Amino acid sequence: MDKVSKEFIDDLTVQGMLHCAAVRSRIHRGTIREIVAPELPPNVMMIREADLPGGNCISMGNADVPLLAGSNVEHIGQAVALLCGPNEPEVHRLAELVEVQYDRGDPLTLTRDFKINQKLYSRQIAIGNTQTAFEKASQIVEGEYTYRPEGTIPVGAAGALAVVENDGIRVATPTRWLFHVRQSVAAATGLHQDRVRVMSTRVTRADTNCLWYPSLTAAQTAVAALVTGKPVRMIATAREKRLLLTKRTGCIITHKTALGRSGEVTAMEIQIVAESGAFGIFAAEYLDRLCLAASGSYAAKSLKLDAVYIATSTPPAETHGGAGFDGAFFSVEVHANRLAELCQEDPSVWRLKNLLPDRGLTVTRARAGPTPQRKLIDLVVELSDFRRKYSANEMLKKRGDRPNFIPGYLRGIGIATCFHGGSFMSDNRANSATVTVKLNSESELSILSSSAMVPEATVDILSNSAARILNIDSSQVHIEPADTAAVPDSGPAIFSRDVTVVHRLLTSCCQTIQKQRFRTPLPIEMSRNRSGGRGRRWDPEIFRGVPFSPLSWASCVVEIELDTVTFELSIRGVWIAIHPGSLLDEKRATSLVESELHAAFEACGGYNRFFEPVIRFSQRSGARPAALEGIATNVFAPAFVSAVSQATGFYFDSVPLSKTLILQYLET
Amino acid sequence: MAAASERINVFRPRTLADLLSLKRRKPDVSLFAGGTYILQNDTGKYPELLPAIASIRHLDELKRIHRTERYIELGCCVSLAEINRIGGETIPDVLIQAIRSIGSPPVRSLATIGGNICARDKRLTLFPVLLLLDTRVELREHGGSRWASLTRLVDAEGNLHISETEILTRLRIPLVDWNYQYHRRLSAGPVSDRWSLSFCGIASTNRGILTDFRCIFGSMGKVLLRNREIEAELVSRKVPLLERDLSAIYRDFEAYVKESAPSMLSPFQVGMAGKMIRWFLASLGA
Amino acid sequence: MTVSFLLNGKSVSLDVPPNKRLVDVLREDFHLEGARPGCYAGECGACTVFVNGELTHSCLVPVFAAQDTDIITYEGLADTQEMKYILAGFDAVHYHPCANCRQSRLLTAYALLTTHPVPERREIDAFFSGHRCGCSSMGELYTAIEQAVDMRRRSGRHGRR
Repeated sequence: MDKVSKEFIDDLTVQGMLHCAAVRSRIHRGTIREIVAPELPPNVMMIREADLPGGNCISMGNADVPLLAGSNVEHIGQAVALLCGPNEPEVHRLAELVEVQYDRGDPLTLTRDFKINQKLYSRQIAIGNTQTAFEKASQIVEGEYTYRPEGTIPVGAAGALAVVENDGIRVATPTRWLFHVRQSVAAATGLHQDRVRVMSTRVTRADTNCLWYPSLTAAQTAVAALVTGKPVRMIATAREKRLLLTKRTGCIITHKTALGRSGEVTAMEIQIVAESGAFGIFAAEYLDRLCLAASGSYAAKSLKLDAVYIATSTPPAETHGGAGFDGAFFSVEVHANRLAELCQEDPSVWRLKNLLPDRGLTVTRARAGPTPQRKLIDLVVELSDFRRKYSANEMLKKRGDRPNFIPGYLRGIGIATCFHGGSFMSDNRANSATVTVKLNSESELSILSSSAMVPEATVDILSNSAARILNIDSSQVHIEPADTAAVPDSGPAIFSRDVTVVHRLLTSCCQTIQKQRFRTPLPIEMSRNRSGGRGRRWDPEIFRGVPFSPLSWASCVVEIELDTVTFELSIRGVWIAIHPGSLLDEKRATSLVESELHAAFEACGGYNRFFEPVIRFSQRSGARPAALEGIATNVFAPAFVSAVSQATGFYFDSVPLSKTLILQYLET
Repeated sequence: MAAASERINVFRPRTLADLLSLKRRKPDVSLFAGGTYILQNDTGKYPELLPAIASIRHLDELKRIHRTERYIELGCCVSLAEINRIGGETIPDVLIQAIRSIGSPPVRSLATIGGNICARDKRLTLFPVLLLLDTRVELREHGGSRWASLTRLVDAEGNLHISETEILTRLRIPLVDWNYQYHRRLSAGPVSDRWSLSFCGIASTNRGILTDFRCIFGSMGKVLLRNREIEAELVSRKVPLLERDLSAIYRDFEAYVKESAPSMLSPFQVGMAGKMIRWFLASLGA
Repeated sequence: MTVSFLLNGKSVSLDVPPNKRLVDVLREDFHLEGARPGCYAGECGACTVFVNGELTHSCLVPVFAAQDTDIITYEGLADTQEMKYILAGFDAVHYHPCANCRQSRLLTAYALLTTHPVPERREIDAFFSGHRCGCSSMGELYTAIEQAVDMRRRSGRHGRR
């Protein structure tokens, strides 16, 4: 179990290992009355909350997540007990036979009428006097937008293997946040962090949920190893993966907008209710991202924002690239398209009039820096022939008297724009990172970082950058396996931090080594770190300053076709223009954006993934690389839903957009 | 009742005669051909199988394809991929369309036509199509066999009736030159009996006169909707149908749906069924 | 139960629970890692192998049903000239699907190019409709397949429809 970085967790075995299966809650919420186990064979052990040697919780993103449900079940699929035994199928079969008796509670759901005990965080922002602005408005437009995207099929392996050693415990798991696993295992076992060694097994781009689940599973597995005194492996079954790893963050956002005489936005009132499942992992972070995106794109003089983050009785959501931004931009951009239509303007023209000015401040006085959105809108409008198609579709829609059982297609086109940030807004610990590099006397470079390097191509990007600076061949660059005993803490590998943070620290190390290497004898070791809070000019309390540096930007046009008989939606074209600061590898960036667009279509309820988007990058020389992960998700959904609205002549305001919903509107 | 791994007893008859004899001795043995339906619905590492299973996929006698001028005969273990390969020149095109709506190529290489028909608790995609094509099936048991219309294998609730000792061995599909053949599977979410609907319509015309017309709806549950009275009423009408005729037929159909299985169908299924039949009727002769 | 089959041209036999899935048998009992267990529902395509010459999701095959079949995994074809063209095509355009599904995609490409020497896009779409891992893009796949076809044509093998 020394070199596991290239192995999948489900291929990893050690001599004498026990298998662990979790007894999982079959209800969404309730109180546990009794756990009734079948007669267990002598070599099978059941671990309940009372058997835990350390604390029954790990901490993640300001939330406490219990290892095992104590008296209360908080979500469906929550682990209630663990079964360990030598035979994998048998422990899974026995886990199914354990009967948990509950007093059922009402499931907590995402709704505007949430219960008071669901509330985790809230934020209110008031700028200027919205009341006066609404009194003076030429038009007031209201809309409610619901964003509950569907998760994708989890393909990768998930789980953990723990081995108790003389001086501590060793754990292997596929994770995007190596040192958080260590912290969690230490908390669960009661061991000091120095006595916990964590190694990451292979993480692939398909493994999107590699933050909370690995930390929790590793902690449960480590506890099982401590209690049984034997190596223990717990692998997520396909059912568990579907149940626990497909959840995405969701929100309901209400916009009320005051428009002036020429259609300009004068005031905004925004109400947000958001959730990411039970416990509210990273709830404060998501809430800030939601608030920033919901209030930030368009110029307005006054704003009233009321946002609440609630807990629901579903498994915790995965922390994906767009987290928070995707739901907010869905609401803002679909609403913007509606505003444009009510002003009888082309939505691209309306946007150009109402977007923040270049280097302008958002209504909360957040600084956006250079704002290339106008340029990006012009580019996608031209590439897609948006204006002509939009007007043609509007004409057809107005004529639209064709019965919907006559075969044919209804066409629609939609546009959206967004900004995107590649770090945590409020979690300083998650923002900090350290990278170390060592150049030896053979001019071989070792990169030491705990980052998971996802997607796999990141390894090449980092190796090539380092090789270029040091003028060595990329084959002389080695990235050391992610092992807490050998590498420094580089933070979580999400929000494109590999290219925005780790790459920056790496190049800084390499540049310093390059300056020293011909003056100082080799080997040279160099470390660079970034402190999460240091030098940040963002004040989360008053929502002012620079929220992300640098920001990335995107604009997207989606053209769809709706079969009038079957209501099947197909994509006729997607055009996306992105300003990513600068790109480290355009080909791989294109690949990332294209696959994200396909996933975004599925998240919206689409199925046929085979469409070829037109992707353009607008780079700025000298700019730093900004976040790409998640940006396509942010803009696809609003452009897509707006396109369907244009095609059908009905305002759609939710994701996923099901055929049932379309049928319901068109048949009434 | 599913069994643990060590209690699963797998039989592997060498010939069809062996299989029939096994079925006589052990009527509770369940047949396993492609197994896609069972395994897709059980994502456990060790899928739960019945305690006595007869693996039949390898039996050549059940994989034979025989064509005459009037019909084509398919063994129950012919895979969907194989039927797809033969194609719409030889097999009714509507069946090919239906097969292409099932899974992906690697799934169709496992799934068999017999398995698709014989799923106990659901009438899967091909059942309504084969029903419409007047398919007859051979049912064999030790010492005897009979041919039966597929219609006779299901009751009004969509339950399948094949006796424990019988095995569905062959399907005989009449070859008729249908001018209109259309199959569509629609789903508004996960494939399920509430959110899925399949439509199959076939029709023949001669000099602008409808000589035969059939259509059927299936869900992924047990519901099958077919109204022979409406079908019969349409025969010998001129196509394209007049708007007022279309509306009248649609009204009859709507009343039939409301009457027959309102609680078993979701609004999605009812809505889409209406759209599909209106479209199919309007397309005749157009 | 004891199950015997041909695996990459060699006759093999093992004692195994009858309901163990073929993909797990290949990985755990034969240490062939080309096929990966993903969804266990025949949806993701990570476990694709050839069974009796047909592309099959091995997660949908309980091992008893593999008795007397001819199974070919990625490892059985890795050294063939055809697979080398495909690998070269993938590498030439830097098409790198994730480690979960890379080898099953290579196998699917092999099946595609064996039956459709110069495939059209709709044929590529049809063959790859059994792969639903979101790790890579279709645009890259099209180019990679075109590249493999081109490489094979330049070497003088097949290449005509």
